[in-house]
Amino acid sequence: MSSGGCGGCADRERVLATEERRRTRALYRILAALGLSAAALVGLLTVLATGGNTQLEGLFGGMVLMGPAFALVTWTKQSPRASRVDEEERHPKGAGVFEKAPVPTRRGLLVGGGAALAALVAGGVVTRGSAAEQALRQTSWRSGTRLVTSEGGPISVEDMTIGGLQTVWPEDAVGRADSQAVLIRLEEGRLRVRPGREDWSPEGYVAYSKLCTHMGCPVGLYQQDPDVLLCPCHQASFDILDGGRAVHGPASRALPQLPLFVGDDGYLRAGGDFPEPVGAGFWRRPRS
Amino acid sequence: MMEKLVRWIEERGRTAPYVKNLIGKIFPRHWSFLLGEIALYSFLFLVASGIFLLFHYTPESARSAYEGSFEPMQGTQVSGSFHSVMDLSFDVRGGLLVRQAHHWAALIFTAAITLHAARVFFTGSFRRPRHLNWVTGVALLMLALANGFFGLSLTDDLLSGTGLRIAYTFAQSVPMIGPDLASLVFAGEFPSAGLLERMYWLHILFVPVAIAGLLGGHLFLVFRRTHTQFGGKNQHEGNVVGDTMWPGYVFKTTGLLLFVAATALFMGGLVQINPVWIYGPYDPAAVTVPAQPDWYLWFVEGALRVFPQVSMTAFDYEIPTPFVSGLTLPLLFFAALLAWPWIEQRITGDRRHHHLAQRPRDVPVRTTFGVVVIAHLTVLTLAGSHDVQGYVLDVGVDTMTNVYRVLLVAVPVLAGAITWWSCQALREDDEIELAATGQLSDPPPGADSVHRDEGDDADKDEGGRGDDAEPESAEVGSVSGRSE
Repeated sequence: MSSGGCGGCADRERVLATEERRRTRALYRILAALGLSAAALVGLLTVLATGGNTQLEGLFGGMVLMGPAFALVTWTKQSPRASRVDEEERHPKGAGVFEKAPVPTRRGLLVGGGAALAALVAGGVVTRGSAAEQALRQTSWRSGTRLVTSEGGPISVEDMTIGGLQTVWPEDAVGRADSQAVLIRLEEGRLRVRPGREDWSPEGYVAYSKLCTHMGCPVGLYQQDPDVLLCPCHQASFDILDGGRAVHGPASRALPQLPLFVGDDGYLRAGGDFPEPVGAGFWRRPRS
Repeated sequence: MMEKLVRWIEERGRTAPYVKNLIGKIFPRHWSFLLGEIALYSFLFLVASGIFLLFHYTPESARSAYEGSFEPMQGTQVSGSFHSVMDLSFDVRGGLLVRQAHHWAALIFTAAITLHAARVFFTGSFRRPRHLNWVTGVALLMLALANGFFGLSLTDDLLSGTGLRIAYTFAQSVPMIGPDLASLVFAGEFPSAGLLERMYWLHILFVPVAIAGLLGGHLFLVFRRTHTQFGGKNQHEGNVVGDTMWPGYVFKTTGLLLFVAATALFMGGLVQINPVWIYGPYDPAAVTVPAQPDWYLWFVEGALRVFPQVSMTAFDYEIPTPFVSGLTLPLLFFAALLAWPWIEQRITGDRRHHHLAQRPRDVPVRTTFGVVVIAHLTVLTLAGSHDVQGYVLDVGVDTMTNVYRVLLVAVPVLAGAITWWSCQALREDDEIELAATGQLSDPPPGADSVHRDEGDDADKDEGGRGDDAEPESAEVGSVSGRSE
């Protein structure tokens, strides 16, 4: 900007003076910010040297960086060179040669999708009955396995009161995720016994797999009125009195029930493995 | 000294033309252009803080008794991973701060990418010739979400174990090959020994390197094809107007880098996140209540919760519902996001190059569509904690599920209608004003006037404005572009 004549001189001087004042103010602000940062650095080092404190470390650590951050932005705002707006020509538009992007055609999509599906089917055939699939079909429960608590103690018929509930395991596989079960003692006669399961719930005891049939989370919450097991992950609920039927929420399948009987020694034992795979579903899950 | 060094490098690298080009680069001024930079800087912070964490974290599934300084947990059987995270939190000086700051930075990272993507979407900045920027950007978003989940899972506490269990079930739900896929990816039937060890390498090496590489490509493309900008008096298809790389932009953006890092440190120091000592070590027979992952996964969590209670079969085989609600729907969303530039191109038939960002109101169809999708995702996100909301509101969780099933349809329809109506109303206002005054009082944002080097137009393309020798006082007269 060129100022013409001496009428402009005074103007120009005023502009310069304002400019000068602005810079001085900015400089003070920058110095204050950096000073604060330095103080914060001392504070941070002191805190670290004297045993540490997460809150103070964060506060001082952040302030150490905040000072220079503030200084940089303040400097660019007052500096005419740094704050001016510039212009750049764009590169000329690309010429036609490579302009046509490879957009997938309908035929390409069909062929690709078909190939993917074929690969999937082939994978399905090859993995049929694989070890991974077998592992999902069974747990560690066998006929006659004693039920034990998480501490490993066996459970006799007198151990639980009516309304009681606890997590149980096969005695030889405590902690095995796929074998965990919930054991509940109900008042006798309240359970609506499913056909074929007449002798699975002696003395009001009933046991269900603890793995939610939705996503396999442990069904850990017991609500007494109405009697449901609730999964804390996605709030699927299962009716304890009605064979573990899925009541509400996203699960669409009942909790598998573990057959129980009372051994000659008075301890609760499993009558066999769960009648179907536990936990979330999969492609070749046997359907009941 | 500096000059000598520059000469030394120049003699060997012949870098001067590139550097000159670089320091003359122009960055448009608009607050929404900062979002991508915030994402970049939180990534840098994640790398820096991650290197510190590397020195203290051990990936180890094997269990032993905890013996650190957190008294209540003494003697509990915990994995080596959990043990090292406890030590990091209680016995390494500054360890808890860095761990929490790292976690907060990851949340800022994902949030910044999401907002950046929304900005690019609603302003049409993905249109030709920037398709590749969009594709790399969406890929970066997906990688960021994946690595966030890996990081969340490495601590091996009760919450992260539950998250892994859900990820495993997703793999298991895939038709035909599910059980074997799950076993392959998760090193056996869940919970398997060796999973943490494998995920560790994904989290600290493979995914970060992929992010760094894509990020490099993303930035390279921005440099090659220049920034978009909103149109204005001096801003048109043929130019870019804004701060020059040197000195203005470098100083501002370094300030921003430090602001981002400072924010992560403040949050890490003052706001507790992922307190693993409260959750306890992973136990396959227990779950935390409440159980929510990081914010960016809530939409999947919500989808799992409100999906209807149905059983699906194909030829008498089972298709578990999580395959649809948790796997297919999010993947379809990302596929649609990736393909959007081509979808829009197909609809509008517009294959021209565009360098000016659009105002959302000027493209009501796209804007409405975007708002409908975002509204849907937002409702799903909120549904991800509907048990907690029900508890606070004293409403049964089953009722909450039904309420959200309704909201999932109602809110997007309503939001879409409001958006459509707003776009039309804003455009009418513009037209009335334009007809009356010949110009808009609230023009599209951007600087109003441009600095030009006097009598030196030839210099423009070479980015010659950055010459350091120029004394600053000589420029006082050209304070012209201040719009803030």
